[in-house]
Formats: sequence, structure tokens, C-alpha cells
Amino acid sequence: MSDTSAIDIVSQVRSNIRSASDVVQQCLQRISAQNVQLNAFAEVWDDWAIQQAAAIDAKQKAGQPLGPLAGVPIAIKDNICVKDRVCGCASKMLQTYRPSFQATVVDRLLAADAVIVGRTNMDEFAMGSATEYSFYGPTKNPRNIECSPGGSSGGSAAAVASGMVPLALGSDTGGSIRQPAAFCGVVGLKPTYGMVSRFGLVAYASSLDQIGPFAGSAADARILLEVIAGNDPLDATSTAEKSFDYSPKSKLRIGVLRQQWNSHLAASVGKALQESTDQLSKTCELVDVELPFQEHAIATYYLLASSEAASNLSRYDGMHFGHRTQQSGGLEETIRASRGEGFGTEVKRRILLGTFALSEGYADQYYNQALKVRQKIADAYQTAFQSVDVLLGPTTAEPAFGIGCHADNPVAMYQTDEFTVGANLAGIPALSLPWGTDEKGLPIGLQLQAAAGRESDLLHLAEMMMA
Amino acid sequence: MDINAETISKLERLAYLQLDPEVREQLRGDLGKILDFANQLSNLPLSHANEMTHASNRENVLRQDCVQPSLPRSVALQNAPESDGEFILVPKVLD
Repeated sequence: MSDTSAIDIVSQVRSNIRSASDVVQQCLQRISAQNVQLNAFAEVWDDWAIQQAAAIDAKQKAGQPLGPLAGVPIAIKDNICVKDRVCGCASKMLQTYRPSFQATVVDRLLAADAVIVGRTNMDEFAMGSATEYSFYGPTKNPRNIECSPGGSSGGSAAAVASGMVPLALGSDTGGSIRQPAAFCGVVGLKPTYGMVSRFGLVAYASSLDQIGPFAGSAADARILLEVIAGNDPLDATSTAEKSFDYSPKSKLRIGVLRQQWNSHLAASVGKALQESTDQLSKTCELVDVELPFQEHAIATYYLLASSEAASNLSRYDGMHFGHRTQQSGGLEETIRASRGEGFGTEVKRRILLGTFALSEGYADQYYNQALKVRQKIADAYQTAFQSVDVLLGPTTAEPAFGIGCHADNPVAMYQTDEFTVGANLAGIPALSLPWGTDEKGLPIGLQLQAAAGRESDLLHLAEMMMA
Repeated sequence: MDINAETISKLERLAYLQLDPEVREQLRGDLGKILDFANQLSNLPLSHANEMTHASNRENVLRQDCVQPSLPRSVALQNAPESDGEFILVPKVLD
């Protein structure tokens, strides 16, 4: 039985039409049938999922109220900590690491009576755009197994797109939710920076990272966001607000990102933009909007994210936790060998780039200059949102690429994020919604961006466009 | 941008990485290409522009200064690569 709607599952479980145990059994069967081929899950927590579901059924039987995600199976990315369960970040460095604490988003999911079924594959330490840089091997796109599901949250995207689970969590630092959502044909949302607590999310770039939902519909994405969003005393960068108003604005003004449309898009993506703007023009006001400095967003992002990553990943030294080399040697040799063995090539590449960008003699030219461009990009968005509510453009220039096609060209891989990194740099929310397929049946994604705190506009517009 | 052998070795030391020679050579080339791409920012006239270090507008988020439970020793040791049950065992730190 397919269970693609979280809202339907909640309704069925709450009204006793189905038990949570029944829902999770069918979910585990679907995972078992598909995961060997797709490799979406790094680990499935069968026993724990069955226990969670049994506890929800016991609550129901005892007449206790059930939470807003009652019985919904959900997958979480392998960089989100669950107490005493492996949190591997798809890396040799953390392949046996079991955190002694739990991510706030996990606490909130469990309190909402969701059923967490497993951890999903990703690019190592969230550094990648294809879920190919993984200790567990690549994930395949459910729509075409020779294609990438995108990255770095490719496992979560594939898990939802294939129907294994109705909901999943990913993380997005430069597009790692939205790009895989586009490639796999599902909804993916990167919330406003600070909207969702990062406590228990393994840090890649702390000023850019956000956890967010994957779902088959905007309505499902909203119910998941409602559960995980809000102030967390354990994350000093989280919003001060505890709850949010998701009611729709009466009439949205939409800014069309014409410069992105006129760039090197695949014909199918251009056609999707034309169809969507034709549809929207019947009910919304549309204007063309330009965003200055967008053409520098990729370079800015990779300098800043790599610099922050070089700092964040310095904690992996093989001393207190994580991989330690078996080579003999003094302190420095042990640390260097542990990191050399524990990290994959892309992680090393970004650590070296960040180290260079922060080093004496170069920090001004690279890191500090990138911070200035970041401010300009954020200012451009702020100016745009004075005259429009939502910006519309492509999520990616092309649909999913073949697995391995960018293996020898890191800059080409980085450029696949050209339309997504801006939202992370500015800290604003952005969503990818599926809009048809190309001539080969590969999904196309359109991106909506809004001012900070305006997730409701994105979700309602996406719901309207997908109706 | 040409990253020479001395630069890549310096970065290796700063980043506490140990690279195999083939990987070092590959990354030396990659770094050069990435920095060529990143150099597009260098010529932008932004000398008086502000720097944006983070996207949060929160400041000085404090909590009450009261003692909270600490991590129990057994829990703190559970991920240690090597331990004697009381301490994490590491290579000699001081000569």
C-alpha cells in the first residue's frame, strides 16, 4: 500500500482507521523492496520504528491525544543526531560514532508522534551536489536509476520520491534540499536561517546550514515545518519566535527572475517557467525582477562555506571520538593521519580551499571580499522584496545529470548550485516544487524565494501551483 | 591560479591533513582551478562595503548562570578511540 500523504496518515491513525503499527510495517516493506537498488537509506531502524509505532497505538488505546504527525514514518539525513544511534555523515570519520545527545528536531518529531524509520544517505559532511561523495556509495534517482538524485540530501529526496516514506528531513547549506527535490520531483524547503534549530545537526557551514522538509506536497511540508520550527534555547542562532502564522496573504506579487530564465537553461526548464508564469498570470501580479551580484553567488558561497567548514571540521582529530589511525606516531602525526584516512577527497578539497581563503596574505582578498559580496547579495534580495512577495525562477538549469558525470570537474559540479546558493547567503527561505518532466521523464523543479519569515507565502503559492 | 608544491604542503600542515602524493597533486590542480573561478570577486569595487558574517539578527543570547548536570564520565568515554575507563588515551602531548 502506498502512503504518500502524511496528512492522510495522520487522519487515519487519529480516527482509528489504521494503526500506526500497520502504517510502519507497510513502510518497512516498501523500504525493503526498494532500498537495495536505490541506496537511499544508510541504515533502517526497523526494531525502533516498530516500538515507536506500538507506543503510539498504546497511547491511542489509552485515549490519550496524538500529536500532529501521528504515525507518519519519517526519514532523517545522516547528519542529524539521534541519541545512541550511529550518526555517520556518510563518512569513514564517523562510521561508528553514536552521539550521547539528540537533535532538537528529533525530539520534536518524537513528541509529535512521528515514527523515525532510519538515516538517509548523503554526500559526506553535506559537501556535494549528487550524493556520490558518500562512504556508503551513491544513491540512485528513483525516476531514472542511472541519474543522480542530487545532493547532498539525495537519500532523503529519493526516499520520498520513491514512496518509501511520505516525509523526510534534509539539510541545506547551498541548495542541498532544493536541488535534490528538483531532481527527484518532490517538494523541498529551506527555511529562513534560524527558523529551525541546528542543535544536533552536524555543522558544515554554521552561518548557512538549515534543516528542512521533503514531502510530496506543500501541505505535507507545512505540517512537518510546523513541528520542527521555532526557538530552541540550545541554539543561540535560532529565532526568538516559538510559533508562526502560516495563513496565506490575499494576493501575492510575484517577481520573475528573468536573468536566470535567459541564462543557459535546458529547453525543458525554460518551457516549465513559461507554463508556470502563464498559469500564474491569471491570478497574480507578475513583474520582472533583477538581482544584482547573483552572478557572483557561487564563488561567494564556496569561499565562505569552505572557510567555515575548514573551521568546523577541525574538531575531527581522532582524539575524543571518530576515526583514529592505526599508524604509530606522535600527536601531530596521529591527527594528520586520522584526518587523512577519515575524510574523502571532496571534504579535503573544501578544507584546503577554506584554509587557503582564511590564510595570512589571502584572507582579505578571498574571505573578507566574499563577506562583502554576501552583503550585496542580501541587500539585493531585500530591495526586491520591497516590491514583490515571492521570486520565481528555476531551481537548477537542467534536470538530473548522470551519475559520475561531474566526477572529474569539481567547478562544474559547484555550478549546478548557481540558483540555490543565494537564499543561503541571504538567510531567506526558499522552496523547490516539481513542475512536470523533460522529454526523458526527468523531473523539473521551480524555485520560490521569499523574505525572511515568509515561509507561508512559499507554501501557499506552491500549493496553488501544484493543484 | 598556480598553487605550487610549497603552498599545498603549507595548507596541508595548517589543516592537519596527511595526503597521499597522487591526491596532493590532484588537489593542487583542483585548488588552482577553483581559485581561478573565485578570482572573479577580487576585482569588484567593494572597498567600502560592509561584511556580512551571518544571517541571524540575534545578539547576546544568554541563559541563567546556574549549574546544570554535566556529562557523566561513562558517556563521555563511549566514543573514545582508546580509553582506560577513566581517561581517553592519546599520544603524548608534552615532550
